[in-house]
Amino acid sequence: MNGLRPLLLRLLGIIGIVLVVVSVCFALMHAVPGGPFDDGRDIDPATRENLLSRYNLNAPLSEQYVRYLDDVFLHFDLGPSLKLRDYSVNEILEESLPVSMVLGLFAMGFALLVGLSAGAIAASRRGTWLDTFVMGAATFGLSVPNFVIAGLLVLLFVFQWQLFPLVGLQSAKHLVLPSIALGLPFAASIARLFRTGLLEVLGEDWIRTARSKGLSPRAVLWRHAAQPALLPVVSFLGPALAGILSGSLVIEQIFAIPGMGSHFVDSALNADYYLASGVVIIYTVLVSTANLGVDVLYGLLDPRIEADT
Amino acid sequence: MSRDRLKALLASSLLLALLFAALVLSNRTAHSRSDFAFCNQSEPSSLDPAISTGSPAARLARALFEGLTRLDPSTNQALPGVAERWTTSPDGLTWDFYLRDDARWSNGDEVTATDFEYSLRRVLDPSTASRNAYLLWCLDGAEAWTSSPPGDASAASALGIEAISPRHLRLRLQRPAPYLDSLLAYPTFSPVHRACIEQHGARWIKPENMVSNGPFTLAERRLRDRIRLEKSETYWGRDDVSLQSVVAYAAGGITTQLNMFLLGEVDWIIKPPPGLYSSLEGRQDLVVGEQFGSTFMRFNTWGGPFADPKQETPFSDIRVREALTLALDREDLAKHVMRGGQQALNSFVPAGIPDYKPAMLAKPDADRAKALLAEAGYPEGEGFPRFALLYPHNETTRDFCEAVATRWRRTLGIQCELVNQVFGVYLDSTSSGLYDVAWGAWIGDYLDPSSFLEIFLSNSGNNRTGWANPQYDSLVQEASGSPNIEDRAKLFRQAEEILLEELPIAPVYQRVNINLVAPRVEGFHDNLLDAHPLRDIKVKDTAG
Repeated sequence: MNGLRPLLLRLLGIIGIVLVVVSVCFALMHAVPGGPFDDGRDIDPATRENLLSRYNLNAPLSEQYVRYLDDVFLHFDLGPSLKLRDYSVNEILEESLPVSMVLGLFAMGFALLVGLSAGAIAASRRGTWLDTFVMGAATFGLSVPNFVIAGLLVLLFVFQWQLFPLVGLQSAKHLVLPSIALGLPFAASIARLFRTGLLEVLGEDWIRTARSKGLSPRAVLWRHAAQPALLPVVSFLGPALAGILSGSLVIEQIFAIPGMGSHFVDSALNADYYLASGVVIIYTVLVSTANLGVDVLYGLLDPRIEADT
Repeated sequence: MSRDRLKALLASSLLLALLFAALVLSNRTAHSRSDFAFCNQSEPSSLDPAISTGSPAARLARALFEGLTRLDPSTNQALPGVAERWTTSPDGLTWDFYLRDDARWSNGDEVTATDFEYSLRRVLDPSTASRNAYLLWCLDGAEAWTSSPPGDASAASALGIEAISPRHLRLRLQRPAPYLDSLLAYPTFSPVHRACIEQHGARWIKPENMVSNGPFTLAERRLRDRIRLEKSETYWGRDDVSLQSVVAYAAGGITTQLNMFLLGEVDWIIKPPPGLYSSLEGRQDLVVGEQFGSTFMRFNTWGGPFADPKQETPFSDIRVREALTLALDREDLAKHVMRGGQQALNSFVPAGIPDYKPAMLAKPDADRAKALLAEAGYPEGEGFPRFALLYPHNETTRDFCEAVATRWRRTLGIQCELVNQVFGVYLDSTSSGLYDVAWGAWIGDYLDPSSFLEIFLSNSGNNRTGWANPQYDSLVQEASGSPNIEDRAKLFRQAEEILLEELPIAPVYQRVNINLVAPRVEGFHDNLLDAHPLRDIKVKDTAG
C-alpha cells in the first residue's frame, strides 16, 4: 500500500481548512464596526478616500476577497500591514515567527522534560508521599494561569536574586523564565497523563512477565512500559501546541519578547485586516501540521494504529 | 517501526530544533549599553514622518529629522530648526523662511529649500495618503490638492509652496495661521531626502537606506523590539547633542516597562500603570504635569436622523445638560477618582497656552443642578429615562465613568448603565450618534485654541454630539481668519463661552503627562505637548 497517499490527502485538507479560516476571518473583520483608520480623530473624507484607495479597501468586498485569496494562495503575499506601515505582513511574520517558534520549542521541551520525569517518578512511587507531592504540584501548575507564574518568576529570579534578565531575547538565558512560565501548565498536564498511562500499563500481564524475568524496575519502566504509556501524552501534544501558541501572547507581553502573540492581539483590536488574517493563517497551519505530526507519531509508537486516520 | 529508528528520529528532530534555536538567537546578539534607553510605548506606526501618526513615531521622527522649526523642550514655542529665521507679511498670509547654510543630510548633502518644497508637497499629495495633511490646509491650494484624484497635476501646480532660492522658502496661506511656525515643528513636516526615496521606494525607511537630517541617524530596527539611534555626525547642531546612542524599546506591557525602569534598564518610561500612581507618588523620578488635553462627557443632542425617533432624548434640552454638568464635582473627580495629579477642568480649552485665556465654566452646584433638572420636568430625577453611559474599554476609564454615574445618581436621582466598547467600535457609535452620554477626550496637536474649538464646528467629524450653533461656527471661523492675535483670542473666547453655555459636553478634568525619568537624566522638562526631544536630553554619567 502506498503510505504517502493518506498523508497527501491530509495536507490538501490543511489547505482547505486555511481557505475556510481565511474566509471566516475576512467576513468577521469586515462585519465589525470600526475600521483600520479610526483612531479617535475624524479623518476628512478626502484623506479617508486616499487611504482606502492606497490599500485597495474601497473596492467591492467580493473583489477584495478574490484579490486577497489570489495574493495569498498563488503568490504567498499576505499583503501590507495597515498599522505598521513600514512593513508587509510577510516581513512581520518573517521577523516574529522564528522568535515565537523558539520560545514554543523551549517551552515544549521544558514541559516534556519536567512532565515526563515527574510522571515517571509519581508512577513508580505510587501511593507514597512523593507521588502525592508531585501530583499536588501538578494540580497547582494546572490551575495557576501562566501570567501569575511569570509574575512570581520575575519577582524571585529577576528582582530578588537577579539570576536572569527581565526582557528581550538575546541569548538562551533570556529564554529560561519565559519558557518555564509558558511550559509549566503543560508540564503539569503531561505529568498527570504519563502517570496514568504508566499505571495502566504497569498492571498488564506482559509487564509482570518482564518483571518475572528479573529485570530491574527501572528497566521495566523505561524499556517496556514507557512507549505505550506515551500514547496519551502524544495525543495531548497537538492541543498543547495550540495552547502554547495562544498562551505565548501573555508571556511575550510580560517578557517583551518580539514574537507573534502581540501581533495577533493588536492586529485584531486595531482592525489591521491583513496582519490579523496573516497571523491566523500561520496559527492554522501550525496547529493543523502539529495535529498531523501527532497522528503520524501515534502510528509510529503504536503499530496497531494506521497513520491514515 | 523499530525502536532504533524511533530514537534516531527523535534525536535528529531534537538536533534540528536546537540548531534552529541557535540560528535565531545568533541573529540577536546583545549590544553594549546605550547612553540612554527608554520605553517608547509601542512600535511606531511608521518612520516615514509624512505618514506616521501617534506619539511613539513622533518621538523618533523628532530625533531622526528636523523641520524648519523645532520645539523648545520646556515652553513648546518654535525655535529655529533648519530655518534660522522667518518673517511674516503684515496680512499674515506670506511666510518667508531663511535656511541655515550648515544644515546637512546624513549623507553629507545640503538641506535646501527645494527639499522642503518636495517634502511638504509630498505630505499633501493624495497618493501619499498622509493622515496629517489637513494640518497644512491653511496653505494656498493645499486642501484642493489633497482632495484631488491622484495624479491630477493641475491641482499640484497651484500650491502655495515655493523654493525661491536654495536658502529661501516661501509659504503662501489662504487664511492667517499665527501658529504656523510651531505647527511646522510637527514631525509630519520634516524634510525627507528625495533621491533616497526615489531610489529605495517604500524601503527607504530601512536602517540600511535611510538618509535623514536630524540630530540622530537610524542604526538598527527590530520589529516590536527596539530601535537604535546613533548621534549624527552631519547635523548642524551636533555640538549641542550629548547622547551618542539611544535605544527605544517598542515592546512590553506597561508593568514590564515599569519593571525595566525599576531595574535601571531604561531611563524613561511614559505613563506608568495607573493602579500604581499612589505608590509612586512622592518619588523624585516621577515627573507629572498638565497636558494639552481635556476629558469630558459628551451628550447626544441629535434629535434627528440618528436617535431612535420613538424615544425623546432629554439631552437636547440645555437645562438637562447643564444640570448634569453642574452635578459633577470636577475637583473631587480629578483628585479622588483619577488620583494621578489631574486638575479640575473649568473650561474646554485647557489652560496654559500663550496669548489665550480660556472662558470659565460655572462652578459645580448640586442645588442649582437639581433645580435645573426639576425645571426641565424631572424633579428629583423622576421620569428621567434610564440611559447608557458609553466608554471605550479601559480600566481607568471604567473607574472614572462609574464614579460619574454614581454622582449623577446620588445628586440628581437619575439612573444610567455603563456600556463599554472596543475603541474602534466606540468611535463608530459616537460618530453615528448611537449613544446617550459618552466619555470623551481630546488632545491638541499644536498650542492654539483652534486645535480645540474647531472640533465643535457643526461640520466637524470630531463633534460627535450633533450640537450645531451658527454663531459659534462663525466666531470660530472669523477668529481663524484674523491676523491680529488679540482679536483672534477675543473671538475664540466668545466662541468658547457659547460652548460652555450650551454644554454639548461636560468638561471634567485636564489630562496629565506622567513620566518616570531616572535622576541621572538632565534636560527633561515637563511641557503641555509632552514632547521631549532627544536632542536636548543629557545624562550625568555617560560612562555607564
